[in-house]
Amino acid sequence: MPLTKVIQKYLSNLFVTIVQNGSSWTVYSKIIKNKKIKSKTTKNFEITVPNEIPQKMKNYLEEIQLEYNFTYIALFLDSMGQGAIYGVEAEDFVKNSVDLKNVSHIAIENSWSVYASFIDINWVKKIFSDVGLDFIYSPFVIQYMLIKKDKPKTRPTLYILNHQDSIAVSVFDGFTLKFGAFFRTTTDDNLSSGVDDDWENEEEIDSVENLVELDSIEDEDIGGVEDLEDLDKLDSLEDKDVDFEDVDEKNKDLDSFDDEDKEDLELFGRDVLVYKYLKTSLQEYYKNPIYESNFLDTVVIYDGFEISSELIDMIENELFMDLELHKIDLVEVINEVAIKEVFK
Amino acid sequence: MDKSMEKIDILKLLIFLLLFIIVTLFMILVVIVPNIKEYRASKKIYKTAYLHKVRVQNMLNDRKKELKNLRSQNRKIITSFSNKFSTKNFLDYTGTYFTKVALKEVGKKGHKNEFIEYKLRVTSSLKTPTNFYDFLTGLNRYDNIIQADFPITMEANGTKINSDFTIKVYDINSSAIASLNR
Amino acid sequence: MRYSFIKPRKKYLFSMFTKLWLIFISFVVIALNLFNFFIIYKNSDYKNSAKELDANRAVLEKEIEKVNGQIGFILRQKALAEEIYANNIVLKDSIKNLFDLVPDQITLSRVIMKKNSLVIYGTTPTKDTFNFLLAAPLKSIFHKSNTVFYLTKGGWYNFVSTNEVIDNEVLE
Repeated sequence: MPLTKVIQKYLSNLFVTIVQNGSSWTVYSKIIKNKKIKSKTTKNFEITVPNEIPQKMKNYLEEIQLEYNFTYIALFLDSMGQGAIYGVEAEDFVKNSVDLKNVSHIAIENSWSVYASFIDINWVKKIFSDVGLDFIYSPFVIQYMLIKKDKPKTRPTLYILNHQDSIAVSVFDGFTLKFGAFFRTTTDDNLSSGVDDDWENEEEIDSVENLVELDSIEDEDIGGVEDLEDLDKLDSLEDKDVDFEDVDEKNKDLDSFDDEDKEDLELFGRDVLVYKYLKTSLQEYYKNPIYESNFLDTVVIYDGFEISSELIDMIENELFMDLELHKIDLVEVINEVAIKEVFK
Repeated sequence: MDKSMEKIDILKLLIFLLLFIIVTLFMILVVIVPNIKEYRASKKIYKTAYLHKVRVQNMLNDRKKELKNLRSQNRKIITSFSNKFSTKNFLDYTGTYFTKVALKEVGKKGHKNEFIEYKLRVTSSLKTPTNFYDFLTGLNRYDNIIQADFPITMEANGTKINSDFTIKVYDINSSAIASLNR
Repeated sequence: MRYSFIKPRKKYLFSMFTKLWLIFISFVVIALNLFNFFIIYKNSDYKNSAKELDANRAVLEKEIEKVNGQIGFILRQKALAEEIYANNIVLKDSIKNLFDLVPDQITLSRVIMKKNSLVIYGTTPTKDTFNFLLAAPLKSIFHKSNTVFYLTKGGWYNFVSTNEVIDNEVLE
């Protein structure tokens, strides 16, 4: 009833944003009453049992929902099987090799679409079934909201949303997305799909080989090309157990260091991954004819985690791109999106 | 997710319970109790009014019965009073006892509010006083209420006696008792 | 569902718990109110009925008065009639008694009976006859008696006896 909405504004509303960062959940709660912020709370919960929300987090979320009648829980979707494409028609999905039958999608500004695999969405809903979920946001939507806050760029620009476990790479012309690619940066045993699911975000058949060629820095093993070609024939983003043994070994190498070094190396390794994905995306964008070939000279990074200065240098010097770095509080941004979706 | 039925908030429960008790008590004490008092009072008033009316009704019935009885018991007298005095009839009556009867109205006056008394003088001729006795006896059975009165004069006249006496005929003063009659 | 993959859950101003309680309390309030209205209705019903009864009673009381009046009138008629009847009988008896008093020897020629007096005109063979046979009883009845004798040619006496009663012992 719209009457409820009218009254609701004057009562306390609790907006919760949940983002998974590595091996813990960050739960950010904000209480809003009559457009005024009453309180903000951040809590972190370690993941104890795989594929489940920690009991303490469940209890906490149940508790706060009992306290506040109007509660909205927004989740940041960082599963692999998602992305964004230009266009809103079925043919656009086909063009980008995305099987409409298996994804849930949203049209933004009636010009581009965000999508995510049904399985992932249901998976996440199942995990939160005891607690309840109100919003599931794609990183591209978050990116779009961040972009809208500033003046539109005159030229198509590359954007990166940096999250501890993932990056969302996109090219926006003004406020319209032209290209989108999602990569996970954390190897996750909990993920139901294979390890190298980042490759599944490759949307264009032809460009695969090119990308592999360009990945001259780390990936010396290119043995997985044939496997990748098999991947080409995949017309769905279902979580299949794709086995890229060689690439697997690469990541395993990284993981085989002991913990302390591992951290440093992971960080370093993460930047490497980020850089790799960035380059992959660029190549994909430039080479694949389905994308407009504009020269991208600017990278805007919305950083919700960490970007090392080395990476910044690399981007500026090796890719010859101007870099704009914005530090963001990811949970805060998502929270605001949820608030806008309820009250605007 | 409305888990309000699974995890009962004690505070809310107590508040609602309190609200319920207050509301109920308020309604009962402030609204119902005074009305119940009024109910008892008005019922009592009704009962007394009813009993009173029944009593009066019974009294009326008794009275009516009494009236009926009186009417039937005193039919003769009532009709006699209501009969209009007819000179002819009276002459006929007296004619059965006397001869040469003559009637003369002498006076008329009210008697005890409700009656009118007509005084008449009767002159007649009779054979023996016995006739007069019979006349007087029969007078009580006559169609009108008539009293024979002094002065009575009897004078021998050969074989006959000339008599001269007064009668008072009583009639109902209809204007005075108009309200009583049906 | 503008930016999210899922629609938010429905939010209610009142939880089921609250709604149930509110409904329950409302029921109780309504029930009590209904009961109250019933009581009020009965109250006014009683009051009106009582008024009606009183009005009826007043009418009945008026009727009783009327009937009483009628009864009274009948009683008065009866009293008057019976008085008259009695008077007539008494009158008859008095006259009869009087005439019975007169012995054979005495002949009456004229009798004037009034309320308190009696005048007899007649003839008697001897004074004594009259005095003994008529005057004596007359004296016992009347307070004042007076006789005047007139001697006639035939040797009989005409008499005029005047008798009076002082007090109101007479008829009427």
